[in-house]
Amino acid sequence: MSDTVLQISGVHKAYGDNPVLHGVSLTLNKGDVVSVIGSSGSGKTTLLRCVNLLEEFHQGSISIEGKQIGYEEKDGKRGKLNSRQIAKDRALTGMVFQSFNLFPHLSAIENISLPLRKVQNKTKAQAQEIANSWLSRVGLPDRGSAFPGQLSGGQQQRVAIARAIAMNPKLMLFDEVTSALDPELINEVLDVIKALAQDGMTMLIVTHEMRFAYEVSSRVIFMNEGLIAEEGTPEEIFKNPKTERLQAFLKSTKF
Amino acid sequence: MGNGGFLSELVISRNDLFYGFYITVLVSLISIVVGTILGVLVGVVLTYGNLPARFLARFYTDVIRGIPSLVLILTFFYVLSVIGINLNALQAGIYSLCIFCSAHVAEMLRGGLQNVHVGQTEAAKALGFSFRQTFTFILMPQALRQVLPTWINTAIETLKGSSLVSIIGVQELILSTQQIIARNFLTMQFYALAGLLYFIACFSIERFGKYLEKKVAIK
Repeated sequence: MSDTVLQISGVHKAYGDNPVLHGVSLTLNKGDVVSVIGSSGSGKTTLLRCVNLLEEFHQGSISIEGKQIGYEEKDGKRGKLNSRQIAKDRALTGMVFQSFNLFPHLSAIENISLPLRKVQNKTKAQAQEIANSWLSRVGLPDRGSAFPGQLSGGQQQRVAIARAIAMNPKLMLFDEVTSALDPELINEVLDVIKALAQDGMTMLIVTHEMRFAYEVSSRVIFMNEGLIAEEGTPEEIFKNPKTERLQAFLKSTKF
Repeated sequence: MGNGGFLSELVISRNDLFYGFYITVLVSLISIVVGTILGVLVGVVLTYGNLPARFLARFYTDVIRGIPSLVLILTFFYVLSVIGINLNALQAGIYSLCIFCSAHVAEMLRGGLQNVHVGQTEAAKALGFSFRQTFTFILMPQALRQVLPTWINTAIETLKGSSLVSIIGVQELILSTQQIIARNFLTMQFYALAGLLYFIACFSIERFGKYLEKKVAIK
């Protein structure tokens, strides 16, 4: 009964001679919250960036709601889509970055409303209304006119989340979104993500916050050297790790 | 003739002075405006063009920036006529200063565009922006803000460079001043006056730039 939102099948990627992903496959159904953990260099961020087509990949395919993104098979040959179709495919997912990447020359409200107007051709009033409601949802109803430089890191990241989700994506991608934050600002961001999870948003989350991954995820994936080394419920992964690598990894991280 | 008081000579030559100053402002203004527009176009090619286009743009900026503006002016006036392009002095002066200004603007804009953090482009892409939209709404506004102080500098250099077009006989402030001095021999006084007028013009550009900087500053 559950419909598939994201299907990653056998994705391979290398930077030059340096392989990063060796055939990763993963399926997310509607409402799934999947956390990806693993040491740096394990390929988890690269995987996320492939789903958003910010990275090219050389083999395998990624589909969102049954439609392959980024590439097409033509006469038996795999080819990249043109940049317009790629932009369209990217809009299917919402991405939140480690370094926020808000547009510094635009106010918080403009950061959210500009893409609504330019990509989704909403009117100014519609975009404004959507932006305002999402700003309230992330707990910043009265900071709309503030510029990114006037906001704390946690507030900036909440605006970035609002900006991505206001576009009504099928899937949200979070790339170590609390790694650049001061410790006391982390929870306000994680709380926003948890609230989205409870609303049934489908999410793929790369994180170093183990407790958060444990609490929020329906499934946790441990990546190691470009492969999914272990996959299971949070209970299975954190309380009962099977592989030695995961046991060692969990021992080296704080929970 | 000559050797009258400075004030009476000033009254006598006020029209020549005024005309010279007017031509200086006119030549500079056109050169800065057209040069900036041209420079932005070249700068975009320099940053995003394909290899041959980028090579051409790179050649253009490097050559122009490597030539003294005086040589550029003389080239436009004398050399182009050899290949059948006859420009009058005013045209030659304006064209060469436009070119001068554009090469500098192009190079600074390239720097400005490349200095915008790569995360900005990625965020825009992730939201589904096309390249054109990313450029127009995200990269350009940030790059322009960043190059503003340098652009003010180039505008001032262009204005000061306009004094060189007196060499080919454009009746701007320097040539007018020289002619006035030839009449009354008040060398010190009238060169000082010309200097003051240049300073006022440059200072105005700088104040305008500072005002603009403040107005568009990223908070």
